[in-house]
Amino acid sequence: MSQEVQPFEGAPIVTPVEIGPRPRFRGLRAIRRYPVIPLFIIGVVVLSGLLAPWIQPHEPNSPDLLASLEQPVGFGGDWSHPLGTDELGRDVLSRVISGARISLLISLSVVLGAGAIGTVLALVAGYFGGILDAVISRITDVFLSVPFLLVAIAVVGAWGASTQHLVVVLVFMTWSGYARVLRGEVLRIRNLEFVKLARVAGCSNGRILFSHILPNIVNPLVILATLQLSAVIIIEASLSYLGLGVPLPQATWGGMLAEGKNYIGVSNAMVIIPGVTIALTCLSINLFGDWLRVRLDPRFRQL
Amino acid sequence: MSRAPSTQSRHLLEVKDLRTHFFTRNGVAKAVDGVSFSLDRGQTLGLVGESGSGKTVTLMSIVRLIPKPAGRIVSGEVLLEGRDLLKLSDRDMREVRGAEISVVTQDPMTSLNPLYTIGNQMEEPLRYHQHIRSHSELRSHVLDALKKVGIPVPERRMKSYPHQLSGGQRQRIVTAMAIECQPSLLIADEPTTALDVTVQIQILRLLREVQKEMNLGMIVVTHDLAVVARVCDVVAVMYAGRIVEKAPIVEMFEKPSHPYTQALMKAVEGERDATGRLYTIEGQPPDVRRLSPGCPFAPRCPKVMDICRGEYPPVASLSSQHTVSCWAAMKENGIEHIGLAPGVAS
Amino acid sequence: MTIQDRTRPATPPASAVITIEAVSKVYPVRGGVLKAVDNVSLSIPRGKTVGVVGESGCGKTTLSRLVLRMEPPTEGRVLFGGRDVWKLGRSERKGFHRGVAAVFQDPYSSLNPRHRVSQIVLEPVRVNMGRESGGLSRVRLNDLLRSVGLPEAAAGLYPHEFSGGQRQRIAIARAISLSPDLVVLDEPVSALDVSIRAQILNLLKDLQQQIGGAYLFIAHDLAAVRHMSDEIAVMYLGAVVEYAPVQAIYNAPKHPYTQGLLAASLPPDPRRPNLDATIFGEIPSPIDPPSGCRFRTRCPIAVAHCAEERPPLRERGDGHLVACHLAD
Repeated sequence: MSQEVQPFEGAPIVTPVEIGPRPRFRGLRAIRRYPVIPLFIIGVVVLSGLLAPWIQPHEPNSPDLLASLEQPVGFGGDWSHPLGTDELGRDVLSRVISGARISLLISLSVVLGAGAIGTVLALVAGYFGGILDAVISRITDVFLSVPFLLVAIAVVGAWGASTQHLVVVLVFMTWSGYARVLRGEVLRIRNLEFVKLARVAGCSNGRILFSHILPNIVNPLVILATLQLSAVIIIEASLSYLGLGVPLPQATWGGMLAEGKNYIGVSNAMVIIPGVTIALTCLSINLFGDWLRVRLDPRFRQL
Repeated sequence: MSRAPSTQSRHLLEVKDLRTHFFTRNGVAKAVDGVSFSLDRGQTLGLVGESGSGKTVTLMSIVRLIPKPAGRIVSGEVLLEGRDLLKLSDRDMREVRGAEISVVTQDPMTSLNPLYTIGNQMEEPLRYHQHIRSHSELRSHVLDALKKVGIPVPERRMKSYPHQLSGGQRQRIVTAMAIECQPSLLIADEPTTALDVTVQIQILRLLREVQKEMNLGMIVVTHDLAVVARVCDVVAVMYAGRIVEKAPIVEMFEKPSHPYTQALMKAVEGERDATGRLYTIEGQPPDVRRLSPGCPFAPRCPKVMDICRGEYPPVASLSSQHTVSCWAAMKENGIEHIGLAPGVAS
Repeated sequence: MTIQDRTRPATPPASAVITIEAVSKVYPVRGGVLKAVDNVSLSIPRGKTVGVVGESGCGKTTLSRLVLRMEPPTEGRVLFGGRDVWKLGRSERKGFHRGVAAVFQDPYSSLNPRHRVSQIVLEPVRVNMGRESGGLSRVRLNDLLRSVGLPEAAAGLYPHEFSGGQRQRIAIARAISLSPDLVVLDEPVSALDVSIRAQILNLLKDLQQQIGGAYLFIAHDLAAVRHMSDEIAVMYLGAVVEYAPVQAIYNAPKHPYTQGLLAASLPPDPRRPNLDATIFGEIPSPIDPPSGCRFRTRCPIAVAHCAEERPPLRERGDGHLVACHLAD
């Protein structure tokens, strides 16, 4: 190639590193820029879940009837059971920590499973179109309109309550959300010029799908998955509350709530503690998800 | 325009040292940085520049539709018949928009609501701004406006939806909406960019006719010198947030003085050098987030001198109505640097 | 860069790289059919450029899709190196993809935002050359970047770090990465600033001289194609209304539509603002085109006969084809 074309001058190429001073991670500005408080709460929950067997002060499922219905510290309790005990004398703090483990395990498996199924179907439907798209989209519609609680009750009734069944039911019922949203995104990206150019260059369908389209739907996928995470935690808690979720005696937040409701007035802490835990965790995840949505959307990137 | 503020009759619009900045995560973008000009009734001003030159932000600052919170009008005055629009309340400003100033935008598809008929949409501003309530009166106003913009069978068009119209028809409707409240200032932002070339001329002609007939002040923002040549009386060329040259249209085309204007003219006329290559302006427009103290055109300028890199040139008058901000042009025209603050000469 | 001759079946010298033979494309739509491309023929020899000019709805984009083998024509054939592009075997199809590239209008959606410049530019090489390309890639990449006027450091960056003009340079580097025989340029400068357009046009012209490929240059006005083209086809409602060498189109346009387009794209002159359009109204619906000559509804010189009979594209002097009853 000849050197006739003059190299192109005077055009400093903007690298992200040199753009402006980086914000200092400090004080109020940091709190406004990053979801510091939600991230902290999520961090605590995740760490408790991961380290549960090592950090829980007591065995969460072993009763100690001599110490039943103790109050938390500050409400007449003592430091041997910082958040008090339940009606069988099991340590509430240990059960919350152990519940975090099971909640995270279930919600992550569900989000991974449903996300994978939804993404694959969305890619196939959106990219190939035609009959495949019609079939997948109708099935998605059907799943979006099935009353999910009834299915859960039916499945548990037929197969019995178990963690595995719960995960399967939840995956089954939530993949359609991903498929619906991501299919639209795939359709949009499929019609962008760079996909046409990939076809002109002779790229195979597989290459176009995995190298060109998939990386461009990761943002909505991550946002969706984050928001689904909190939804699944709530659903899991609801089902456990109804006795359709994780079988006893395994501590779960929903199960604790269910047991606690019989002791309202006797030991309010038994309801308040798991309730607040669920609410704070889900609120934090949602706030984090919102922040992520703004952060990952290129239209907001400049502001 | 010579400077004699006390005796001179008031301009329709006077923009003084307007600065609009965008505060982004990646630094402050000085999108408009010290723009001054004035406009009289019956006059059309062309604001010419490339993307990022600040021409559209100037317009949006005049009507105060800068996206918040990132964008902020930092300083300056926008005087419409002597009243500073930047000091009005939001409520008063809403009254001004549409009634005294109206806007024709680039894409006629998105400036019309697809859910309402043309007649419905055109009645809305009349109700809001002119407080006309009677149906027959509204109808006759709308029909008048549609006739004025050359819509055939306006009675039938009133019942149409935007998607039933062609691009040119839609742009005519948008123009009709813009003039139905008898504004004094019409602002057109790239009014023909989205249209086919054979339709562009028809729309430009329409704008010119409407402007003459109603004796409007008009500002046309465009990147296309051909548009400017067809409808404008005065042209201001913008680069990196400032007006670099301003002159009456014929003078600008005959004697462009800023190297950027000269280069644009050559580029538009498709001038070629001896080897048959097209004349080019090398390099890229600057990033308005990181402007050096000197003239922002200096890195691309064929006439660049040492002073250009260090100090922004003042506004110098080449004739009574021809101003330029360029050290090289000042030197060529024998103008001494007398330390005029930018924006003093209009 | 040399052209890989083995990728192409042997063709007689001076024969066309691409030949479009009486191609039509019809889409079924609600309320009838849309004839997007109507019996268009043209061919482009090696090293030459044919400009296709027309306004929205004239079929120029559909024509480019047919040439790029993104859609099969309803009638007629598209021949690449003498072979019908829809009758290629598997390995011949590879040859087609090696030999044909495109640059599109929008410099923003033309580049995958998730790929680095190196990936974007070298993708055609990777996809079509497989292992052969391996070691050469790095050298090739630097050559390509240099030849489109980008620094080598650009390779590791992502598209959003570049301006519109620079992105178009990246798209061009990709297009020429296999020294293609044909490059389809679909409005490659329309979305760019005036001061950048000439840079890109000059670059495209220089590269053509180096590579020797044929260009199909599509534009909506006559200004952009002038510098590049050897011959120009003016399209209106799916059909070619005038086809001639570039000087003939600019100096002596014969079709009233071409004359109107030319008047609209003359260099601006404020002393003669020229607001008197010779072409009135707008393009009619392609679903229900006018009888006879398609252009007659907007034509300043139309006569009764124009509504009755459709003028064929006939030769009027040296390679100058016009479809008009009234062109001398």
